[in-house]
Amino acid sequence: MTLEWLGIAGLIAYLAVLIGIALAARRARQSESPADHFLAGRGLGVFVLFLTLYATGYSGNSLLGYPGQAYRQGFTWVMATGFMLAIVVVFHALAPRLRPIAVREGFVTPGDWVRFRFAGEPGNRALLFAVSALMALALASFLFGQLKAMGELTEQFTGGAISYEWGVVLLAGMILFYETVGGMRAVAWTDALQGILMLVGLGALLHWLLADSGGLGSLTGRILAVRPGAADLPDAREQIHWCSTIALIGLASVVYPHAIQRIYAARSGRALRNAFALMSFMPLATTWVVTLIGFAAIARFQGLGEVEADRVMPLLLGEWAREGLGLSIAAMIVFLGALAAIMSTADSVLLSLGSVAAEDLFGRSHREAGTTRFGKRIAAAMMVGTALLAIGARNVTLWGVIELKMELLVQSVPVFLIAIHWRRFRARPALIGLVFGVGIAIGGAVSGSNRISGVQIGLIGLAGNAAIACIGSLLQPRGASAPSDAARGTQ
Amino acid sequence: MNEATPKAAIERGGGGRAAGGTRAEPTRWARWLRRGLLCLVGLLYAASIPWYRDDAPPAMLFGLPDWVAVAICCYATAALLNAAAWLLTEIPEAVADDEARRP
Repeated sequence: MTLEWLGIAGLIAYLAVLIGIALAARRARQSESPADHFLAGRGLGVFVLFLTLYATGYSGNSLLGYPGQAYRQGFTWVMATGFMLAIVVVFHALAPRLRPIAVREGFVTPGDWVRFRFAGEPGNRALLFAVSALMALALASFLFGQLKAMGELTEQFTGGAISYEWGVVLLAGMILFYETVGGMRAVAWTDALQGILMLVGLGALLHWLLADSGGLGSLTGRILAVRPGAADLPDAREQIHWCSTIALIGLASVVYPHAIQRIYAARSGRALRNAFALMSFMPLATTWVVTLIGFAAIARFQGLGEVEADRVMPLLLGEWAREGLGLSIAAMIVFLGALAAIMSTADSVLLSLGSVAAEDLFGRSHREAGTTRFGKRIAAAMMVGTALLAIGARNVTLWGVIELKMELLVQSVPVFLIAIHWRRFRARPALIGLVFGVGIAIGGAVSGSNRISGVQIGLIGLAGNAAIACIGSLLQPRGASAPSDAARGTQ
Repeated sequence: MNEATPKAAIERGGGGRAAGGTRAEPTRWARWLRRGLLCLVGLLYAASIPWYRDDAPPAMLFGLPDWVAVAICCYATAALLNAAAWLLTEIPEAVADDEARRP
């Protein structure tokens, strides 16, 4: 059996399992409410919660984008392990405080926090809209990255039997099916399967790469023979960029709507705490592994262009599979693991996008079953639009998409991280700060000057954003805009 | 959503009562230990970036350029300490009514 047919057979079997899980999740649903559809009835235990956090956090960006960037950048990409760990560290500042309030108030979307925290204050509705729009934009760009990665991987592994375009369409349709049918329950259960596949697949690939290269020392020697400057110390500007990237990703990732919704969806505080403790080790088990895979590609493939570098993972799988039937089967498992990682993020993003758009942008109540249907329709429309975009804009690097998305999303950090710790933080200054930060980030992207002395322009925008919001809040008289219970009741 | 004052809930957010009325706050030593662990994580992050190194050609350590090996060792240690910090974190189930309402 050739690799192409093995790939197609594996893909069909995998999709059949996903359909089974989606139907089981539909049978397990308790109601048509948004809390049941978007948060699985707030019943995720530690094992499923950990695997869904893991599979959602490690996506097409991690599986294709990070090896590609390691290939382009060389050893300084060790920073990726640091910034993925930073996400789990920064959650210390948000999850323990947000979770009890979310449970008590019955939050479903990140916008529920904004609605609750700034209730009755001038500018609160505009702030809710701005934060939600930013989140919807970030989610859409995230979805774009996942669809692009799915298409690339499918084409590569089926030897072109399923083209990039058909790969995008087929897998986007499958995600839409199981997400619509089973909601968060289906997403979390498929994430659990996908997380296990991803861990097994990456472990197997790393083992092969190190065994084939004769160990880590030998691999490094081969890299230095091909690219002698790869081990050079990063200069001051690169070191600042390293630091800045850790801060950017660490801060922006904690305000991912789908991550916040998993805080709400946990069965208990203890389950959430234990899931985060386990998540601390995943950057080493995943990001460091894919970084090593990118390093190994330096020695194997020379002269890949900017965009082609995102294909080093499928190229390596192809090489591996050519070495015999046993290794072809192993490569197929890795392929399915990588595909699983991508799909698990795409489904979570899509689910979150539907809820954010329905409740926070269009103002539907999260107590009505009609909101669930409306959210599903929006998710379907967004999936179709983003799939078309992914088909039309194939030549965009994944890391480029990630950076822009993070620089925009990070502007909503003060509304969560500062507002949850500081009572005097006010809606109107927060809104002005957010608009300022977004303006700086977009200005930088449009003018092409997206870094100043190694610091991402979005982070500079965030500093200005936070300063404006804090100083503006301090300038307001104490209690001047404090919401009343009556005002909250009208929200 | 319930009728409660957000600002008061936020002040109590990290230390409310667990469902059923049991106090869910961690002990004082656990809080300090958690903060200490998180400070150590911060220091490990600072040590992971090779700002303190001169331009001498890197030696090999564990099969990697030494500054890469140091960075990954820092992240591995930080992961352990961060996991321990999470296990010392108490996340109450909900902020109780009386604590959420404005005094």
